Amino acid sequence: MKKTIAVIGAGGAMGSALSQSLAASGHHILLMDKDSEKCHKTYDAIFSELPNANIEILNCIHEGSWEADVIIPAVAYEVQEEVADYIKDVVTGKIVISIINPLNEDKSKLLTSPFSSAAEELQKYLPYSKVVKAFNTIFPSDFKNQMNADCFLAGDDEIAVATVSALIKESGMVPQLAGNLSTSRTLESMMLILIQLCRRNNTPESGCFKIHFSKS
Amino acid sequence: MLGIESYSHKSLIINKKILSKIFLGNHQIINLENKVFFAFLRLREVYLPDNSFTMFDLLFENIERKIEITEEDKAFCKTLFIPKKLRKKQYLLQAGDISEYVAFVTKGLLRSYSVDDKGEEHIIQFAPEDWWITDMNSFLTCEEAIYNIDALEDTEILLLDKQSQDKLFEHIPKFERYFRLLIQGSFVAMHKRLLSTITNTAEEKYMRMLKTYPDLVQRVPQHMIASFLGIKPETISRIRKKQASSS
Ligand SMILES: NC(=O)c1ccc[n+]([C@@H]2O[C@H](COP(=O)([O-])OP(=O)(O)OC[C@H]3O[C@@H](n4cnc5c(N)ncnc54)[C@H](OP(=O)(O)O)[C@@H]3O)[C@@H](O)[C@H]2O)c1
Repeated sequence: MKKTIAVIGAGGAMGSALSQSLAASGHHILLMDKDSEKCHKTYDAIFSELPNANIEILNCIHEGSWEADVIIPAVAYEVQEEVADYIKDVVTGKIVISIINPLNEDKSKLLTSPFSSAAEELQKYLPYSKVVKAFNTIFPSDFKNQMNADCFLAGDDEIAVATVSALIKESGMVPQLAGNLSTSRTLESMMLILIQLCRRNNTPESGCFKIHFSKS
Repeated sequence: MLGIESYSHKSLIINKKILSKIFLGNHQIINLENKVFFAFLRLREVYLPDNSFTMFDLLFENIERKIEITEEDKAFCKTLFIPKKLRKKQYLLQAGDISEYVAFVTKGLLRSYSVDDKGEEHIIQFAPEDWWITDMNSFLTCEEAIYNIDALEDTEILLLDKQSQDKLFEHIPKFERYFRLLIQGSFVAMHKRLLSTITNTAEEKYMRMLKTYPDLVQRVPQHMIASFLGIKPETISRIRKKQASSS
């Protein structure tokens, strides 16, 4: 059955790209952002490309997370704890996708300790939810380029991981299960490297990981 | 600088109007810094009555009518039940899928029904507030559900999946008793209903429904009551007319 997915920060770069991609797969998307004008922009952009999209704007992240089956906080790392605290009582048993990379302002290093990750911190704030790391190694601009990118994911709950794998596949990417939730430490570092590589090559932030397994 | 924490009670009330304007309107009309934004959200929680603080109250009352539970038991329940909202007409379960949950209704109204070869709907159960609903066969056996469950009104539910139910039984064994009593009650009701279906006249069925569930008869469209009783909507109209003229 199609899922109801709450995107918190749907007016942002990542939030809007993800919302569009998930709406294209037919899911019911609840768009939420602090800035409703940005949210309306996302809404209009999705509708102009997908006139049948099942999307709507909600004003309250608590209401939206209550209604949703899957919740995606697409906000900066600095806000993660506050968002989690605010939705805590309505996300028990639900899948929360962690796309957040805990980068400092000039994106030169991670803000988390080497023994933790943004995803593991989120799981601590939401102990009764099923946090799955995914989409954090994908640039927003690449959701539209169907280039068969590998999309890594990590999580502790088998059913939740399978559900997120299906969402990734529907988005035209290849799900690569990296391991349990603590593998997020590696996945979050990988995005740091990708950003550094873009800078070194003087290209805008784009490009993706693709693993080439040898045949034999 | 907005010193929200230090607002006096009086000034909070004055500001209530402004806050609801911001958060109840169709659009949020201003863009706030994050700290202020969350402070506003919290104020909204204090002043707007429709929030989740009472989400579990009805469930715990229902449980306490059958078994005694402690505050600790309640806290454990809160880690297992999935809070969920459904819009009117939205499905909780579609025939052919596996029924993953038992659902307790805290607000609103659900129904389960099957659809026959001619596309006609046959209502099996209504579940208003304080009721449990699922496709029990599918939930217990993991076979495909034969019933659809959808919302007749905007609805709030608490869901319990099989894994969580097992966890609950393991940690608090008296919940086995609670669910046994629930199933026992539903078994008795089902048999009464079966007997009524094969022995009672349409009028007797309708009068029995009116007597047992007067609120539901008010709340649900007549054709659905007819579908639930297995009689024609016209028959209900006729019975109602007859009642009106004889009283
Ligand atoms: N961009 C990327 O390449 C990329 C790739 C993978 C993962 N990510 C991760 O995705 C997350 C979002 O990144 P982004 O680039 O999309 O940032 P962004 O464009 O700044 O989007 C974040 C959005 O969230 C909104 N927001 C902030 N606080 C909020 C709240 N309390 N409630 C609701 N909405 C709120 C922001 O509004 P305001 O602007 O008004 O504050 C903004 O519209 C980050 O954690 C990032 O690490 C980004």
